This record gives sequence, structure tokens and C-alpha cells, in this order.
Amino acid sequence: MWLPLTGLLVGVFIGQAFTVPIPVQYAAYLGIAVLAALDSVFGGIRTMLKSKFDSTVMMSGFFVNSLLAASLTYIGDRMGIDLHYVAIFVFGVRLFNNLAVIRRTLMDTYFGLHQDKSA
Amino acid sequence: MKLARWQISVTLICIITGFFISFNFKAQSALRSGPSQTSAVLADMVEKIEKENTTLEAEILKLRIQLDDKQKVQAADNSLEGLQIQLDKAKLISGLTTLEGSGLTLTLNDRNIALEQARKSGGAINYWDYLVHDSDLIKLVNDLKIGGAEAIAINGERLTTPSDIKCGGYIVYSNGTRLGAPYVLTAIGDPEELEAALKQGASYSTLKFLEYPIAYTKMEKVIIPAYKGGFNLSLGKIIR
Repeated sequence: MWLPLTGLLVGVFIGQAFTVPIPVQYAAYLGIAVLAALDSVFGGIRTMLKSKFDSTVMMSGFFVNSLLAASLTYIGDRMGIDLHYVAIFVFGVRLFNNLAVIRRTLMDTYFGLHQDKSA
Repeated sequence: MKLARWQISVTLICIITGFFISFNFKAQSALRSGPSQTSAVLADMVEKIEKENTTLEAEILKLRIQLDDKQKVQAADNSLEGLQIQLDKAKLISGLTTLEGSGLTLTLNDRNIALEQARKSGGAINYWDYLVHDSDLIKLVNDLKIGGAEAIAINGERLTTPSDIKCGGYIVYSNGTRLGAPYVLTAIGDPEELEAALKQGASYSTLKFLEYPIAYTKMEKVIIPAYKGGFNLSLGKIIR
């Protein structure tokens, strides 16, 4: 449990240590990268709790999702349509869904408050 | 080892997440400190292009000096001194040399004090009435030319045949360079004649009347820099 949190902190420190100025037009890509990574983390925790975890699925999901999101942003940028909202929306919805499942599963495991019907 | 496996993967993604979050945070806070995003981009672009211009101008200057040296060496070798003298004269005429001589400097600023007062008293402000315009500078330059100015520069930008003076909003462009108030016009010529031309011309007295901060000093010695830009002469053909 502590390993991922430590990893998060390590990542934050690495990010702080880097002082590469990012051009403004790439800010959207960064935001999407954050969302994709968060989505993968929550997805990973969820599948882990459901004991259906597969690291290949998770890692490939992270990269393919990021790639699709980035290309949507790029194409949207070129076409003048804010397509990156699509990625933001999907990632956002998935984040909440994953969190909901994690919450229910944890509540079920530790307090037995919720009858998990989907399992 | 199932636990370890998920932990490694999630940790890896967590590192990436943390990295992106803090990186993004940093980038965003850097952006926030500036004005709006689009103007930041534009300012960035302008800055980059201007830097490029400066380096190119330095390059032109360096190459011109190198060319000069080579020509001098050749002139000494091949007894082409007559040609060298002609070349020097042509350079002088086209404004490619730094000049020194008696003359006059004239400073002209926006009506900043009047603008401040207008702001305090409230009401609509027409900024047009408070700025120095390209037309003011063009007229002043013309008056100086009437006074027999041999060389003129505005804020260190030498005015020569291809030089323009154009409006850029709150600033003025000349030779593709941004010039801002206060404008310092330097001219080489007979100081008395330059002064007379300024006094006789309409623009100096008009600007004075409109309470623009404008003043000139006759100088024993002024230095006017060489023209740093290029010449784009491709269509005109010499008729012999």
C-alpha cells in the first residue's frame, strides 16, 4: 500500500526538480497526461481489489489511452475543435466510476456496509 | 507474488502521475504569473523573432566589417585605391557607416503627465491625443532633412533609403525594430540650420503647442550608428 504512495511522492519530487519550460500550446497535453495517469492508477487499484489485476492490461491501457488522448488533442488543435474535452470527459467519468467501485469494495471488505452485487 | 506485481505497476504509474502533476502545476503557475495565455504566446513569439533579428543584424555588421577588411587588403595589393574611395563614398551615402559630426538631438515623449491628469479627473480618455505618432516623427525627420541633415537616427535606428516609420499602436516601427517613447532624434548637420528648420517647420511648434514634452539641443558632436538592416533590391535594373 505504501509503495504506490512513495512512488507518487518520488514522481512529485522529480517533477519539481525538472525545470523545463513548457510552451503554452502543450499545456493541454500535460493536463491530459495527468488525467490518463490518474485514470490508470484508479483503474489499477480497482482491478486489484476485485482480484482481476493484470499488469499488462493496465500498462498497455495507460499508454494506449494516453496516445489516443494526445492524438485527439492534436487533431482537435489542427481542426479548431476542442477535441481534448472528449478525453478529459471520458477520463473524468472513469475516475469517478473507478473511485465509486473502490469505495464500495473497501466498505464491503472492512465494514460490510454494502452488499456488492456486481462482484 | 501477485501483490508485488500490482504494486510495481501501480507504483510505476504513480511515479508518472506525480511527475505530471507537479510538472503541470509548475508550468501552470508560471503561466498564471504572466498576462493572458494568448498574449503570452504572442509576446514569446515577438521576443524570439526580435532576438533572431538582433543576432542577424550582428551577423550583417560582422560580415560587412569582414568585407571591408578584405576590400582594403585587396585595394592595397592591386592599387584599386580609386575604387576603394568610391566604395567608401557609396557606403557613406547609403548609410552603412557610423558617422560623427556636429548636429542636434531632439527628444519627444508622450504626454504622460497630461494623461495622468486626465485619468484622475475621470471621463473618457482618447489615448490618440496623448501619444507620439508615426506622422509626428515623419514630419520632424522631414524638417531635419530640410535643415540639411546629412544623417538621421531615431532611438539609434539609422534612417536610410529603405527605412520606414510606421505606426505600431503605442509604439512606432522603424527598420523593423520597435521604437518606444521617449523618442530621441539625432541628426548630423549644421546645428544652426537644423534649429532654423525645426522652428520654421510646423510640426515642432504644433507639438509644443499641444504640450508634448519636446526639446532639442544643439550638439558639437553626435554619433549616428550605421544602418543594420539589409537592402532588398531585386526588381530595379540599372540603365546605362
